[in-house]
Parts: sequence; C-alpha cells; structure tokens
Amino acid sequence: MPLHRQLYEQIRRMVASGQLAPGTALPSIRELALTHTINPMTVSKVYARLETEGVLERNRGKPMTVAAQRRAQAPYSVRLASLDLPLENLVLAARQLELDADAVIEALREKWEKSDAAPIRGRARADKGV
Amino acid sequence: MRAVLRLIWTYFTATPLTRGLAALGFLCMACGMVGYLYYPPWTLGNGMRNMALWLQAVLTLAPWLGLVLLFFASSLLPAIVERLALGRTILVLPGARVALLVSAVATAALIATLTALTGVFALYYYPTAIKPENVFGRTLLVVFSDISVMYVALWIVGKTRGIWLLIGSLLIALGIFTPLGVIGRPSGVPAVAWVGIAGWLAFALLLLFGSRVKQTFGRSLGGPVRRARRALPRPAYASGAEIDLPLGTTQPWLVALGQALPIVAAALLFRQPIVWLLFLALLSAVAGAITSTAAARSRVLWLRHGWTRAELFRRVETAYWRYNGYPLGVLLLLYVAIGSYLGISTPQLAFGVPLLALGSVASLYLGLTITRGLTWFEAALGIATMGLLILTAVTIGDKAPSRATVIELELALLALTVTYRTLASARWNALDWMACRNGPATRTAG
Amino acid sequence: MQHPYVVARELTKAFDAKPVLHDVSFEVRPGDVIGVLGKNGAGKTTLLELVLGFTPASRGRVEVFGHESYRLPGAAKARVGFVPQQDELVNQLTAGDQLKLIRSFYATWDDALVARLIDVWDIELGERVKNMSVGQRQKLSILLALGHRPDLLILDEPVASLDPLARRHFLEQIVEIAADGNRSVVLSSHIVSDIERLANRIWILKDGRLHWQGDFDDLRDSVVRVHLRIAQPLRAQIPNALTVDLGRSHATAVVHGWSAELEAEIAELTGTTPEVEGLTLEDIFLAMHR
Repeated sequence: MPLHRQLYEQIRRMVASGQLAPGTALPSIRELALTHTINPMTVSKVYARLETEGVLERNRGKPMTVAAQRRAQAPYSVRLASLDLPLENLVLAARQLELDADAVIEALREKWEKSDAAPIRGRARADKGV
Repeated sequence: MRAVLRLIWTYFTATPLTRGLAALGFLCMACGMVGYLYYPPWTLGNGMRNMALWLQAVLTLAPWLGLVLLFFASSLLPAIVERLALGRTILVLPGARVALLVSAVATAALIATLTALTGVFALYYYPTAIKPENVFGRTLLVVFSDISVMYVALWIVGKTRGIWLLIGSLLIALGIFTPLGVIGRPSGVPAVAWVGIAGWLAFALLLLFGSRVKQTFGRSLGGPVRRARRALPRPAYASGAEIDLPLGTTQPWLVALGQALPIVAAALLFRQPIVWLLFLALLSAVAGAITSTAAARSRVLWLRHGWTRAELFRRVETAYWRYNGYPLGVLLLLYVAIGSYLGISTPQLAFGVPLLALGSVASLYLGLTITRGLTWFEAALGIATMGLLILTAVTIGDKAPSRATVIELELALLALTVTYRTLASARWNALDWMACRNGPATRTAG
Repeated sequence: MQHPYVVARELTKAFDAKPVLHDVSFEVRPGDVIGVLGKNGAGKTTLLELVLGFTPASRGRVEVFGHESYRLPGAAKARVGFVPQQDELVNQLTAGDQLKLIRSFYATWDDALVARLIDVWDIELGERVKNMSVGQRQKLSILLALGHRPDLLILDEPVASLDPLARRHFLEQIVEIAADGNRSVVLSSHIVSDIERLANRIWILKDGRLHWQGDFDDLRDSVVRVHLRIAQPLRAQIPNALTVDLGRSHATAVVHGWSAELEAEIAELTGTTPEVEGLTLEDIFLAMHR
C-alpha cells in the first residue's frame, strides 16, 4: 500500500467518521511531512486531491480546514467511497484464497448481523479496563 | 600437539604463494646440505673437485637462499598469531594459548635448526674463529633470534600498505642477513640472541598471563598509563591545520624524533661508516611512503575548498615540503654529527648531504606520483630509485671515492627528482579519485 | 522555473575499457529529492562521484550549478554536501575537532542546527573518532555534510549502520531540507522504504543504464499490479508484463506503462476487466529486476 494512498485514505476516513470535525485545522504540510517523515510534496498532493474532492478547504495564509458543508454528515456516496480500501483488501484476500464472491458476501452478512451492537459493547469493555 | 602441528602447517601453507616459497625453501636447504656433504667447496683449499665454479657458487649459496625463502614462506605467522592471540576464541579453546606460543617458537626454531645444520657443514670448510663444536649451537641461537626479531619487523611492516610495504620488505630481506655475520665472531652470547630470547619471554608472559596481568596491575597501572597517553600530543584542530589534518601531516617532529632513534641505534650497531650511510640513504626514502597516500586523502580537500586540481597539487606539495623538512633536517644533522664521530672523511661528508636530501625529495615526489594505487610501474621506479641511492652511497663510502662518478650519480638523482615532480604534477592535474582507492573491491562497488 | 542544479548529458564512464555507466542523462532540479536505486554494482557510486567531480567522464558532460563538475569552482563546492559510503574522518581527531576542521572550510555554518543534531544524535564531542562505533561515525559524517546547509546534498548509502532512532532523525533532516523547496537531495540507498518516504523523483539504475527515471508519481501510475479472472488458460502473453503469476482461476501480473489503452488491450485478451492494485516502491524495484 503506497504511502500517499495511506495518508489519503486516513484523512478521508477521519473526516467521514467525524473524528475530524468540519472547520478543524489540519497540520501544515511541513508538520505532517515531518511527523510521517515523508516528502512534503506527497503531503501537498494529497491535500490538493482532497481539496478538489471537496473534503478539505484551502484558506489563504491559514492552515487547511475540513470543509464546512460536511457539518451533518458526508454524503452517502463519499462515506461508501471511503470503504474502497478495506473492500479492495477483502477482495484481494478472497481471490488469493480462491473463494467465490457469494460465499464471501454471505460471510460478510453473517458478521454484519452478529456485530450489530458491537461498537457499544466494545466501548463498555474498554471503559472497565481503564 | 596436533594443534601445534596444524598451526605450523598453516603458517607455511596459508596461501599458494607461501606454499610455493616453503617448497622452494626446503628444496634449497636440502640441496645446500647435500652439496656441502658430497661436494664440499674446495675452492678455498686445493680445488680437487672437478666442478663448474657457478655450480659451486649455487650450492654454497643455496642454504642461505633457503633461509630467506623459508622465512618469507612463514611470513603470515605474525599476522595469524596476532589475530588469534587478540581474539576471544583463544580464551575458550583448550590449550590454545600454549599451542600458539609453542607453534610460533617451533617455527622459528625449525628454520634456525635447518640453517644451523647447514652452518655446521659450511663453517667446517671455512676458517672461523669459533671452535667447530660450538658452530651448531651458535648458529642456531643467532638465526633463531634473528628470525624472531624479523617476525616482529614483519608484523609492523604487515600493518602498512603501498610503498611502505615495499620498503619494509626490502629492508627485512636485507636485514635478515645483517646479524648473521655475528656467528663467526668468537665473543660470548651475541646481543641479538638476548634480544630474541627476551622478546619471546615477554611475548609468552603476555600471551599466557596477559589477562591476569591486566587484572592485577590494570587498576593500579591503568590510571597512570591513561594519563601518560593523554599527555602525549594528539592532533587537534587549530586554525591553519586545515590541509595538514586530512593529509596527516600535523606532527612532523614526531616522525623526525622517531627517525632519530634508528639512526643512533644503527650508528652503534654498524660502526662502519659505509653501512651506516647506506642505512641513512634508505631511511631518507621514507618520505615517499608518507606521500604515497596523499592522493587518496586529498579528496575531502578538493570538495571543501575552491581549488582546482593544479592548485590542490601545489598546496599538498607545500604541505609535504614543510612536513618533510623536519625529518630531513634531523637526518642531515645526525649524519654530520655522528658521521664526524665515526670518522667519515670531509669529502664523503660533503657528498653525503646532497645524497640524503635528494633521496628524500625524490621519494617525496615518487610518492606523489602514486595517484592510481601502487602499480608495477611505481614499484619498479621505487626499486630503481633505491638502487640508485644504494649505488651512490656505496660509491661515496669507497675509500677513495671518484668525485666525478659521485657527482654524475647525484645529478642522475636530481634528474630523477625533476622527472618525478613533472609526472606527479601531470597526474594530479587529472586526478581521478575513483582510481585512487587501492584494491579492486572498492573500485567495482556501486 | 529555476535552472536545474545538476544537468548531465549522455554520461558514459568506463574503467579500463570496462563500461560502468552508459549514456546516462539526468537533471536535479531545486527542491528535488531523488532516490537512486540499483543493485550492487549497478553504477550508483560511480554516478554520484561523477556528479561530485571526483572522476572525469569518459564521454558526455555533467554540470553542477552551471559548472563542469570535474572543474568545480569553490563557490559551487560550498553549495554541495556529500556523505560518502565509507566515512573519511580523521581517526586521530576528536569528534569536536573534526567538526571544527570541516567548519573552517565554509563561510557559513549553521551552528544551531549542528548543536541540535549533536544533542539529538548523542555525539560525544570529546571522543576520538577512532574509538567511535560505525554508527556514531556515520552520524558524524552526515552532520559534517549538513552544517553548511548545502543546496545540493549527495548521500551514498548513508544509513546502513544507523540504529532505527538515528535513522528516523536522519530522515527528518532530509524532510526538513525538502520542505525548504529550494534545496535538493540525491540519496542512494538500499533501504527502499526510506526512498519511498523521501523521494519525489526516482532513478533506477540497472547494468549501468538509467533503466527508469522520473517523478515517483508517474512511476507509481506506470507500474501496477493487475488481477485478472480467467476462465480458460490465457491465449497470449500479457502485454508489458514484468512478472506473471498464473493461478487456476485468476492471474496476477505486474505491468509497466499502465494506461487506458493497455487496460483495454488486457481486457480484450482475457475477457474480464482487470483490477488494478498500486505497488510499493520495493515491489516495483523487485519486479523490474525479475
């Protein structure tokens, strides 16, 4: 998984999930490049791409922010698109195991139903642990 | 016991070259002995044998050639012993330290015994001052010690590269015969034997009890030793040393002092002025050994200074002239001082000064011509230069030196020096640092 | 657009008639971080040393800051920093003196940067170079090349003996230089993941030729892995394939020169739409050497 792709997906997912609220300032290109020790041009290209996709907003002389119109929630299509990467990985893994699509979809459905309340349970466990 | 034999075997057979030398050496020894036994050299007596003179000469010289061959066949001994003695493996191998010590002593003893056997035969036919029954023991002792000292010399020379190695090996090849003359003298135990025995004792102590000695005296001795070492001047950065530090020419007086010791020692050892002058002439060639690494070292200077290659050569040249001035000065001063004391005549003294100066400068520039590693070309030039130095020294040392010949020889040396400088300058103008580095490994890398 | 810092045209270098580099042309533009990749003996060190003017080119020409590198003037050298594969420190000096020595060659010296790196890298200034570990020597050697804030920093395998922490600090330094926008780095390394992080341009040397050079993005777009579902055995070779893995029902191939046309061609050949997967630089490099 190339680095620029990782960074791109990460920001998209954080915006889609609301971890990065609209209006939040993003680190400068230099800062982000240093924290990830990657070429600043890579960061600036990722920012530019996210800007054209409307995820981020460029502000003159100020840090980039998460675009405002995503206040309520990102459109369904955007949220779905941010699943691209895990889905691709899933497909790839299934292919390598030579499974067929129907079986994988069936397994996915089962997991889906089992995990209905999972996020809440998971959080409760974590709280007790602390 | 097996370990000892295996070690001795390894010393003689480590590489194809040493294997060849060892085989030749044993052959020479055997031929020489057979020669002395069955075809004794009667030339000094009544010449009864009907034998070609050249064959007699070969048979007479064979064992001595064998000695040199066997010594160089075992020339890896110092390096192997050092590697093993300083390693950690030796501490976990059973009996390894004793085996190592015994094998080293036995190797020297083996060569000495073979030489001594020949010596018995040889000296039997030549009139000597010592009693025949003492010949074997005396030869054994002297040769054994001689070889031991030469192993140490070889060990030191083995740490060097390029022209140092060449000079060192030549000196050893000459030096190995120097103490042999002692055999024939009737005096008591010769000095070289004491040196050899003391050396082995010290080595044995260090090898066998080194760690214990270190533990016992380490704490009490360590402090003062460390303080003394710290007190020794080390190169440090000071403004103006920007060229000298990378070139390694910061402490010329250290070399000058280091040179004074062997000069004085040689004056005491060889009381004949001619031998001593020869020694000095060879010593003056040390300058070349120092400059031979200049090209490789200068890379950092080129990248960090605004000089062109031609300017770089001039700077480096100046640095070495200044650096070489100290040892040369000491050499000349000691030459005049000790020379007068030894009784060198005034014309000899006068001719010797330019000889030493020219020897030093010629080898300085010869070293500077080495910009592409030491090739056969430079090695041949080095040997030729040394040959010329030796020839001039021998001519000067003659009881009635022919002035014209000496002047001609010294002019030849001067011409050689100028040629070397021209060559060095031309080579530095097209200096290629990729070609500077010795060894094929770095050259093919990357 | 600023003038490139380095321009090389049709460089050829041969040692004893044995060619090491053939007909290599390249540029280093301000702000570039160039990763040089190649197997051992591919010609990386030779290429870097030609740029530094250590050795004359057999044919062709390389200019650094507008000057022929073999006759580089002092003003241009002051803008170049170099970290050699094997350090060239003076064994007998202390680290501090070694620093002072190199500092004396330059008109400008970033004392604050050097002091910070000495601190971060744990360099003991009083220690003799001879007694320093290989990693410490390497750090010092890198430090010496950074102090004068060179516009063009050339590094030949600089990180081989660095511990992970020191390597991270080193990478941060390169990012700092890259963030400047006007300073360039040419970095040769076998640690492909480092180059992947740092470089925006890639040179891949193979058998003395620049097998591939250009923007990293172009390389990533050009060399991809495709997954194909196949019903029956493939009738023909996959075009532009560097490597092919054939399974029973699907095939994977790494192809170069990826484009819409190539996609169409492969789709027609196999009867399915290929799925495209991006590759890491290491995968690309390995595929090119298969």
